[in-house]
Amino acid sequence: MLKLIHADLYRIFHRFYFYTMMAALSGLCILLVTVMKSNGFGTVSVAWKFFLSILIYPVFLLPMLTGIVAGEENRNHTLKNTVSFGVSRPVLYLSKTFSTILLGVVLMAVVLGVYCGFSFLTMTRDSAFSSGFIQDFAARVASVCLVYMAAIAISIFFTAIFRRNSLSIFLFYGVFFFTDSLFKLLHQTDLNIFLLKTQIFRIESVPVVQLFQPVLISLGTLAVFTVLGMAWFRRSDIS
Amino acid sequence: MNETVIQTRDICKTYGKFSAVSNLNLQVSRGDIYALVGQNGAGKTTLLKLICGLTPASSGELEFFGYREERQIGRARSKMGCMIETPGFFPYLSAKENLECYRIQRGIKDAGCVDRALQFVGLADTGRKKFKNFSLGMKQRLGLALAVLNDPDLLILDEPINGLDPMGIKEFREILMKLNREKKTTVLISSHILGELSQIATVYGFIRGGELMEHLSAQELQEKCRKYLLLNVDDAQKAAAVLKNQPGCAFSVEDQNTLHVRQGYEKPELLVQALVKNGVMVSQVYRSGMNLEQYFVSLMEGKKHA
Repeated sequence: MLKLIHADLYRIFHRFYFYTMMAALSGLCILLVTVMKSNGFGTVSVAWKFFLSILIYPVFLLPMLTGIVAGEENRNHTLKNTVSFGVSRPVLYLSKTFSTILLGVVLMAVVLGVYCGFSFLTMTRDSAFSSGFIQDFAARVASVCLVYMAAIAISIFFTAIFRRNSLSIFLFYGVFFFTDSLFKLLHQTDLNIFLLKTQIFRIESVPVVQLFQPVLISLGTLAVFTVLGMAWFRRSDIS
Repeated sequence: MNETVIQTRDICKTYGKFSAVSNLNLQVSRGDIYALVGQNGAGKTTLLKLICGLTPASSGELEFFGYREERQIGRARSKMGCMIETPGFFPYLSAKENLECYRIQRGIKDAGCVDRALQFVGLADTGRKKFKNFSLGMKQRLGLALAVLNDPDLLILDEPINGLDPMGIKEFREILMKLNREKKTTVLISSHILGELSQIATVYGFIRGGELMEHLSAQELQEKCRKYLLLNVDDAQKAAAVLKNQPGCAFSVEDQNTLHVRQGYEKPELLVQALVKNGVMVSQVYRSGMNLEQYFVSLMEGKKHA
């Protein structure tokens, strides 16, 4: 498993595209902080709170990460090189999930570091910016990272089933963003609580002690989609 | 006794109602260069994919290096190198980076194996050139480099010489023969270029409609394709009685009018003279024989062979 992840990271870190994505997102963070500051929202606590209000947007980037890790293997027909070497398919599937998560963690760390660091260095540290505030912020960010991990599991699942990158991305967005609309049509809005999208919005607003719910739902989603994906991948044809 | 490297027993692969491979029994022994010969869509690639674990079998059994259990077969596959269909690599990496990626993935500790594999296939001087800029022949060579990266006991190659230039084909042939001779590497190869196969193969498997029609050693094939003198006569039995008395003459009666003389026909006019003298009417006499391509074509057409 570690060797597979190591190989994935080796090729991804040899790719210009990944660094471009990282630089673009970092640039966006700097631009955001600069715009906020120039519009009078010049305190660190406001900037960090604002970050919590835009946690849904990184979800749009997740299929790009799964695309780099798993989608590319489908497109370039490279999975056959790994499977024919006798690597267990469930292990290979798990390694793709972990590689994507690791990549996401690296990207999140850089983006968060740039955003928080730049705002910390350039903005006023008001009285609201306390150690308690930082702990609250960290807890919410950690929780949303789990939601992103679960979303990665869904994205990898669709990538494994639908080899075509565009179709798997389309389905991922559909499932992630429009399932609540489907529940509404079916008069089953009670089920919305199990959706990752709902949990992302809850993470921003609920008290920290209630963050266990998004954590549990994320872990459940992660487990279900990983097991389903492994079962599918175990019997699928590799081209 | 020859050690069996690959053995399939009634292996089948169906896609819906279409049967790509049906009840196929294949045996490849250690040291063989086994040529899988068949038309497009005959099931060659599907069979190779079944052996490589790229597609699960619908039924039947696969024995690999003596193992039958799925997990053990998986482990044994690490002794195999393969190239199925077109070589798949990451387009934004160079040849060395691509192989390095697989070296890490396969846990090969010897970092020098990458350079050796590239040297082996003549790609050592490609530098930072990315895979996406490679010619088809270079891609094929890199595919072969990956196949030999882990110093395999078994090589499975599907149409490996497609896209290679004549020099490349020659070098490729020499590489395979060298691996087979020096490292006793077993090779299972499919190709449409029959002339090339006939220069390296030690065993042939002819496949059609997903079924193995014939399995022959190179000697057996040579025997079947060997040159002979065809005699068309009015009475083959009468002619046989005459030919029995001719010194060094070996023949077979094919039907009531045809005989194939395989030995002792250096001077056919003497045979004809003897036949005529004994009252046998000879209507046709000519030398015949087949190469691998002709044999394959006649087999596919269902003709009877000499």
